[in-house]
Amino acid sequence: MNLGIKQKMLLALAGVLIFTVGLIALLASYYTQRQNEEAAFADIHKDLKAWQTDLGTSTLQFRRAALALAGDQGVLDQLAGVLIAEIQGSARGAGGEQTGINRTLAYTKTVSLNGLYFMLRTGAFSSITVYSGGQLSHYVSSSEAGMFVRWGKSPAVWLKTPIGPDGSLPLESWPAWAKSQPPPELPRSIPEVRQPEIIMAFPAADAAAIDIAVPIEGVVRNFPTWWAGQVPEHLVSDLAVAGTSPTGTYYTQRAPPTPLAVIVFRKRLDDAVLRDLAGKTGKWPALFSPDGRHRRELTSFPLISAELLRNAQANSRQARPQVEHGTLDTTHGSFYAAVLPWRFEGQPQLILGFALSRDKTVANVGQTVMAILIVSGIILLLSMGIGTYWIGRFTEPILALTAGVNRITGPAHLPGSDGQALAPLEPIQLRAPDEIGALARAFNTMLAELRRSFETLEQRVLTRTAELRQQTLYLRTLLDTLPLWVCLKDTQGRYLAVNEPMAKLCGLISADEMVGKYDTDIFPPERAASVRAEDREALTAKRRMSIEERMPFGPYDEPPWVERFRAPVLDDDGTALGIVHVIRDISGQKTAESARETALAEAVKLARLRSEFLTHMSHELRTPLNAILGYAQVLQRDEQLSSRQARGLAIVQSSGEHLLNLINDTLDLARIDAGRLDLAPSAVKPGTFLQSLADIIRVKAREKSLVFSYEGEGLPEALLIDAKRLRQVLLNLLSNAVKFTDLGEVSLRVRRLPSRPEDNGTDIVRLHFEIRDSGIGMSAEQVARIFQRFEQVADVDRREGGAGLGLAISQQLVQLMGGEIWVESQIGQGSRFSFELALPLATEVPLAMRSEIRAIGYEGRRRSVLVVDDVPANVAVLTEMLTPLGFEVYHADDGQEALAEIETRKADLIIMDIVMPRLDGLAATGQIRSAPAVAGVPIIAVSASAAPEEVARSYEAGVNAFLPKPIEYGALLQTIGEQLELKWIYEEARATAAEQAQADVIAPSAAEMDLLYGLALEGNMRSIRLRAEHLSNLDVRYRPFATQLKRMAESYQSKAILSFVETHRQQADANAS
Amino acid sequence: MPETRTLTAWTHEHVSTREFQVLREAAERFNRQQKAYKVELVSSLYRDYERWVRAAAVNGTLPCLFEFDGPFLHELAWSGYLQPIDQLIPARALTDFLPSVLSQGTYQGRLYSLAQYESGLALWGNRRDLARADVRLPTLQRPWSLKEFEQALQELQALPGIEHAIDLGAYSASREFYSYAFGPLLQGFGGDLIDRNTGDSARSALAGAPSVEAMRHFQQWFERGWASASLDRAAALSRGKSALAWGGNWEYGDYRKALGSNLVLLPLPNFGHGIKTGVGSWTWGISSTCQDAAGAGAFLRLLLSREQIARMSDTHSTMPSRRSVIERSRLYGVNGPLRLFIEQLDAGLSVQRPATPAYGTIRDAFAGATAAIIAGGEVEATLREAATRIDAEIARNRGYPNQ
Repeated sequence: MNLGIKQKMLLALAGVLIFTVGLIALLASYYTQRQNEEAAFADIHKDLKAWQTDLGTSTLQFRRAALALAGDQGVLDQLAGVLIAEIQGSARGAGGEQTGINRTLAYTKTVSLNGLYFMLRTGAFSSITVYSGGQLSHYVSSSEAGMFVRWGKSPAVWLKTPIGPDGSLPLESWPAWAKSQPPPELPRSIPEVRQPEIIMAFPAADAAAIDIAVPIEGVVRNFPTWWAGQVPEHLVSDLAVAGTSPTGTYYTQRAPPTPLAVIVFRKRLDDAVLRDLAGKTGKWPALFSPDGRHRRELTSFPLISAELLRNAQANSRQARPQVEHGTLDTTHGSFYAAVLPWRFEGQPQLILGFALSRDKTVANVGQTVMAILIVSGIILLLSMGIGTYWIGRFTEPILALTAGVNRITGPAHLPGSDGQALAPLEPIQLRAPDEIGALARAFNTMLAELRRSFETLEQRVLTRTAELRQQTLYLRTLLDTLPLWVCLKDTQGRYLAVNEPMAKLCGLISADEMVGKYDTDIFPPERAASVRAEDREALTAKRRMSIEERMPFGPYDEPPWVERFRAPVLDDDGTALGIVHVIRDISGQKTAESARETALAEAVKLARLRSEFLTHMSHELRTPLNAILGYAQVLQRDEQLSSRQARGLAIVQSSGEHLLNLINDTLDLARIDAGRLDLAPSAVKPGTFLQSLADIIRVKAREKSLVFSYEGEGLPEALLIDAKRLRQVLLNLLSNAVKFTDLGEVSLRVRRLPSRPEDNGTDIVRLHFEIRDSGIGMSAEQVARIFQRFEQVADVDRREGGAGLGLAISQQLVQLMGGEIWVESQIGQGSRFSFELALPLATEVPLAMRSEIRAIGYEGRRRSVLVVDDVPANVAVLTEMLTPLGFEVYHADDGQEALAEIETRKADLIIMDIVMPRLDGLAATGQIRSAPAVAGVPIIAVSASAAPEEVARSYEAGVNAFLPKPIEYGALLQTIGEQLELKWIYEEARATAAEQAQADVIAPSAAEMDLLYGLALEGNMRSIRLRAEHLSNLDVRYRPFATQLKRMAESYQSKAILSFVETHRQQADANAS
Repeated sequence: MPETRTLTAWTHEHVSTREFQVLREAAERFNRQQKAYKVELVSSLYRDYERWVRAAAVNGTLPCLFEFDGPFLHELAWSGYLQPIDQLIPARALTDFLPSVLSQGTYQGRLYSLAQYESGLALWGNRRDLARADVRLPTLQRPWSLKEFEQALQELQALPGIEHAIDLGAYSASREFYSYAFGPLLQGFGGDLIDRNTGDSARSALAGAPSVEAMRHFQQWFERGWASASLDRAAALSRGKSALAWGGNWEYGDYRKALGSNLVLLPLPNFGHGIKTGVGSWTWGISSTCQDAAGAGAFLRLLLSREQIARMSDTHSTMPSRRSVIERSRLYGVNGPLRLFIEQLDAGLSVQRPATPAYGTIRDAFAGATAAIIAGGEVEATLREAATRIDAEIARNRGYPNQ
């Protein structure tokens, strides 16, 4: 039988309950059986002893409380008032006055009652009674108060009042109290009590009581009378509890009763006490007077047998009475009974008894078992009922939930192959407040979500289907529209998709006709095999493959050029799913490529022609310039030149240099355009480099009476710079600054900038170059144009030479070095050019260069120099330059001749032109280097074509150095010195003397100075020059003065001359004085 | 040498009052005169004096001598708290006391208390206002009738500056004032607080038609704005806000100071049954438990001496309780400004408050009813309720039986 969860839980519950009930019944039966007589008696004995102890303890407490309360001074004072009033009353006569005394007596009793009532409640007594002179005076209990008063003629009327519902005593209205009799339990009089005593009383048949009688003693004396005939007053004082003080004495003129009063504190032992005991012990208590006359039991029949009582009475006389017990069979049943005499302070006071139903004890066993079985049966049924209900409550939601889940997961809701619509997902109808309910709600929420998902999914499928159809259409159209032949095949070569052009190419009517077919269905066997082989290659390689070829099939007379792509279609895991085959017509592209190649070849050719042209031009222009400048330099060295000749030579040289600059600029520009301008960095000492620049510019500035300042901050020792190009830039900028400044100053400031993060700790130094002038400045529009080629923003007067290329080239050069020139300028406010360069530190420090070698010869033997050049002027220049220094110069017209020459006459050095007829310089060099006899001869290549590639080719050919034409004299000497390791002899002495003379300018006479000043004012520069020459010849000491004067006159610096003359005239005056 | 016994005397006067100073000086004088007793005067300070006395009585701690308000004599004597004093005062001296004082101190034919002063109730008026309103000044011989009185109130009310024509003293927080001041109003209409013949019922008197009528008029005086219930004790008459004041002789000093010669003392109106006015004062008694009655009597004799009574009268304009002192009094003697009070007494117009142990209940019930009526309560029902409460108390005490 397959039981459900509910049945299982019910079965388990029933089993546990039945087992529990049975066990309880068995245990109860067992323990009840163990109840035996001894146990019952022992129990009774124990309770009797406890009762006896309680009685003793509480009696002691009562007595303590009674004595304490009776000794309270307030109580005693109030009692004294009563006693005084009584004495006064008995002392006075009758009549009206007596009424007042009686009233006072009654009032004093109410006062006493007030105090006693407070004690009653404090000590939990049943009543407190005051006896005065042995007679009942007044009393108060928890329910009423009463007192004897004298009323009218009557000597003693008992007035009483109930205690108010609020516990108050209506003391003020005592005259309105009811006249009555004292309670019967109150004795009217009390035997003499000398000391506090405990008396067992039996005030009523149904009650015993413990009375604590406290005697009060005191002093009564007469009060002295104030006037004759005054009624004697009495004073009662020193009231105290009698018998407790050994000094208690009486001073009385009229002996009072002894004691004066007795206060009886009563504690009743009534049925309530017994019922309380019965409730606590479960037994029937009984109380007897020692004589047995008073007995109190809660039952209507005696439970303590007379015999047992007699035994107890006899026993009570013993100092330590024992418990007497026995059994009693009555018509009401059988009982165990026991009695114990209670003695207090040596006196028998009461006999205490307990009885316990025997029948009940024996019957208890069966009854207990039966009761347990009945109760357990009821509990069992109830538990089953409740269990069934609750298990049902607990399990039904689970079962309902399970059924609901089964319904949902049943075949009706599972997608089947029959294509029938799925049964709707109905929510589970389940109401349960607990977690099951929460589960059901969550399940229903899930169902709703599922239902929604189904609906959404269905809608999405429809949408997607439509979209797919549309996309298929798009793709189809796209494929058909593409100017390509496209097909898609599976790995077996079956066509999955084909566009119309492909179908037509394959000779089919439509693409649909081709889909599903294999290559072998379409192509001849050879072609089909070839296609399959290509497909396999692409599928195996798993990469795209392309072939450019003439269309290998199709209806073409002249098949077009096509590019065929094969690309495998790969799954995510790399599995080949098929292959795409795309063919593109590249006939047009092929044609364009052919044309482009032709054009490129033409362009290369043109570029080469241009380069050659430039090289040629450079060469052709430099060659005559070489001669011009060379001779100019040679001639300038002639000290015999007249001023005019020297000036002419200077103009020749400056014009030549200007022309050379123009050529260089043009070449640079051409190189820049051709991207062939490369920097050639080398180790340079920036300090020296910049100082030499500054010196050059300082001279130019001085000529215009401008202040020039140079400042270099934090410059490193050596940097890798293309010094030539940087010099070109700086000279250009500084020259411009001087050119466009008439008054004020020009400055060059170069400072080192902090490293940047991108420098990344490398040996990069950032230098900031700033060229500032106080010149004419530029407008914003001019600033915008200055870097454009062939632009000269200055006015015509200032266009001294130049083609307007300087700034454009400078900007290009700085950009090539990684910087950018910035310009700030305002009309009339001067200009500021600046740029920043990041330059690598040089590891080697270059040797110091003399800026200008003024050598006059060299030490050692005479050296021979072979000059190889086909241009006689060049040969002549070099000869003029070197011969005065002591070199033996001879020459050859070309390379061929040079080879022949050195075979016969060994040279120490060869200066080789590059471009020469027959055998050029490079070829000749190569041959010299391969000829062992002369292979070690240093060769200095000179060329008007100073392009870097030209230089590089020269070095490749084996030259030792390269000098561009026109040959600079200083550079030539330095190079020769290096190659031949010569030690030059300089004209030191002369130079030193001249410099010294220049430092100590001595002005001529004042008259001469006045004359010069006048000439300067007139602007007669020619006369000034003549006077300068005259002065120079007049006295060697005037030469420095004359030299400077002459220079200024040559450059027409009239203002500078005026200033110069003025300064030195003052000096002359000072000297004269 | 016999020991000096201390007698304690309780007074309701606060130590700050001039009356207490007079009493203290008397005690000091007594203590100097003899050595057998020493009187210790104890002020109630701020205690509820009445409750203090009752609590002490219940506990048996009453002092030998103590003051109490005259009408409570019957309650205190009935409960046995007092002892007679007639043996302690020379008979000749007793004849000098005002009859009302003797009457107030007598219970069951025995004299239990005597007072140093008596009181009187009348109307205080602002002569100028009364003249402005052209109101006739009443006399004992020709008092205002009810109509005249109400007419006068109406005209006085119309005077500029007058807020309420009469100050009825309804601000008084003292319960005692209502039975003292308005008990005579009931009697003037023919009613009373209690049936004085039997002394065992208030219903016929307090809830009777005359009393109802009296209190209805009383209520109308408030409703018409002629009078006002106010907590402001500053006398409206003194401030010129009222033209009349229904009050006692003890007000004289303040009114005189405020109004000067404009102050005029007028008899209460005759509401139909002749002028009825109040009387009664604080009085001295000896407790029944006093063990030194002789000493207490000696001090009482000193207090009741002419000299002490005159001193007390001088302090607070109180009416001396002895004729011989009255005749020499500047205020109460013949032609004295307050002579009217003596004339009222002599004419028998003064009515004591009910001489019964139930007086405390009567006073409280009437005070409650008066306050309710001033507040607009229905007069007859209010008075009936008060009478019921009084009668219940009498019944609860079995008619106050005497031994």
